[in-house]
Amino acid sequence: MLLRKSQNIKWVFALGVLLLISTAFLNLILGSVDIPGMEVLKVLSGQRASKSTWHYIILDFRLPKTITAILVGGALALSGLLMQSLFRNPLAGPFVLGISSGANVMVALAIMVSSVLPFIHMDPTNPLALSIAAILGALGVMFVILGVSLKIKDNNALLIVGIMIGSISSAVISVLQYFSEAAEVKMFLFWNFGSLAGLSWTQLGILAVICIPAMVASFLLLKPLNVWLMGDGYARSLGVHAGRLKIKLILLAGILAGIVTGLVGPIAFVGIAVPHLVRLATGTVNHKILIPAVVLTGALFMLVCDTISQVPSAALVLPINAITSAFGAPVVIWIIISKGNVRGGIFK
Amino acid sequence: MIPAQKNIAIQCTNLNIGFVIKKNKLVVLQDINLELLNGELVCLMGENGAGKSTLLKTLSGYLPPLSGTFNIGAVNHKNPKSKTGYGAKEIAVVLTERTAPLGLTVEELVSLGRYPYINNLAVLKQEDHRKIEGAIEVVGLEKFKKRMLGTLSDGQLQKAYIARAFCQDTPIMLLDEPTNHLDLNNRIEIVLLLKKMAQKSGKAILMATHEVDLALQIADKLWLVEREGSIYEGMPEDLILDGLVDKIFPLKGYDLKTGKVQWKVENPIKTIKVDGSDYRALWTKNALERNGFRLSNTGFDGEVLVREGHWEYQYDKDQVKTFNGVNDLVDFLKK
Repeated sequence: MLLRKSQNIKWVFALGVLLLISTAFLNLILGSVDIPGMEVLKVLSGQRASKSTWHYIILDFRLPKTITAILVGGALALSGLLMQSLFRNPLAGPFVLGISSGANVMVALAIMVSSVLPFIHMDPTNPLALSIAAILGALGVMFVILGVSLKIKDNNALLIVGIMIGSISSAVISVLQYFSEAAEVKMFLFWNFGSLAGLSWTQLGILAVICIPAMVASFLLLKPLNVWLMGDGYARSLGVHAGRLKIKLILLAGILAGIVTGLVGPIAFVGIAVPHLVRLATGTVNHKILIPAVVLTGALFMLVCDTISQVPSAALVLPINAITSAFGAPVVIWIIISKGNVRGGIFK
Repeated sequence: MIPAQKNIAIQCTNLNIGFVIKKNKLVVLQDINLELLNGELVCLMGENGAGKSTLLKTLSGYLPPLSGTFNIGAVNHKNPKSKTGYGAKEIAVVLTERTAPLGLTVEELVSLGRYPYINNLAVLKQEDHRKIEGAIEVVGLEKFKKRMLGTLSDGQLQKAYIARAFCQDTPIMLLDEPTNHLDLNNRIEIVLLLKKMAQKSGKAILMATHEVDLALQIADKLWLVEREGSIYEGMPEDLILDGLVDKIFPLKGYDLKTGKVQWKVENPIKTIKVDGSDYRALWTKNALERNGFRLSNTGFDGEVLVREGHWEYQYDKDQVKTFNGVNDLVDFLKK
């Protein structure tokens, strides 16, 4: 497929990267303590800041959080795009197959099971334990979905299975909450709010090592993804095997969404809203443009949300999930309302 | 130009096709022994459900054959693996599904035809651009190449899909009812376009269609699918004269030999003789028959003379009346 106005596209991408860098810089400056830009630059270039607390805040707290926001935003948005393209459904998202439900159940078990089944003891205060539980849950559901997808050929049926898994998870969580103590329920709620903060450099390394190759692999699927939009029959005639593409997409989207959910919690809406924003803005369905643009926009969206959530110059930090939803939900509503009069839409 | 030498694009030998449902073989068509030649436009015809689509799916590698073999070019496909598909550089298809996003431009849709030839990053080379332009030109959509699919008419959309298949640069093109839902002009245009493609590019083109009239006049060959049977192959004229077309299509009220709809005139109002043999006489006869008059050269109640610019009706020996149009003539005769 051709790039539409390929010259312009390059400039738009350059502008996007520039915007991302400046937002990231702003994200490092702003927070409960405002740190002067020059000091941030000093720390980034390896020098010591004039105050050791600033040095500590930037290097051990803000910089990991900024990088986390970039990776998480890009990964979730890309995961959403892959799911929307696979199902040719504008309402699909990274969690449509129940990936976050799996994570939720495992985290709920990790936090609350000790009061339901007192003989099992876990240490829910250890964030690493929660991360591992969430990743196991997310990947567990992903493999279940993969298994089901080998059995059923109809993709819409797969969507319904995903929704059913979500329902089962809610039921399990409800029962657990019913028997749990208030403190545990609150702890589970906090996990559900999501948080970009608190990732160690090691965790960040894991996130990057998994997300970046998955992003590259997705980009290498741009040809089958474009052909796939033409429908199964045409895709097949152009040498794209539907079953294999489905497995690759579920694996990539599942790994991206799973690792992110495990490390920062179930962050909603980025995955659904950003691909739509990008398609509407670029006016294309070509994945050669969409994939990098969605990753870039997702990262930018997450950075902006994070900058807002830490409420500049105040000690207050709002839950990141509330911010992304507050931005993301209106976008989804707007798309549903405007879909009626968008001619030549994104999906038929 | 048609290659002088007989080049076989597809050769089916004792091919049985159908489905396997829960390990039970459901044979749709059997003993197919056919050749599809390069440079030929072949129309695949038969009733709904006779097995046209099943044959197309088998040949395009979507369905494995139940038994028998078919060769594509020089390659034997005893059991073509329905997984990878042998076909992206051998067979291009135009299907009835229309799932492509309407937000694609014509050019983008056509460029998808180059995908089997380009790298994983979908970088189009000079040659690819040339082929895309060429395909758009062949179907005559140059002015529409930047238009989105959603803004095209059904006929233009079909041409865009055909251009995409053409651009795939394969020796064989399979089309499933490409003239569906189109008006008469577009139907003729599409079929002529395919005929031209077959002649000029030497492609072997097989199209499933219900267009009896167009197929009989334009196709090089017909493949007539008999329900629960096999396929008859031949030149349209031979198949008509052998009565095979009548056998497959028990046409009601349509005489294939004259190419006319036959009106069963019961209790004719009058019997009329129509003088003249040009197309104006033909259409006059058509109008009279439709309105319940019997046409005969003997024992008629009156005679219509088709003149240049007007019609004369002679009756009761010397009575003559002149009309300016067929409608007036029919109205008068009905009185």
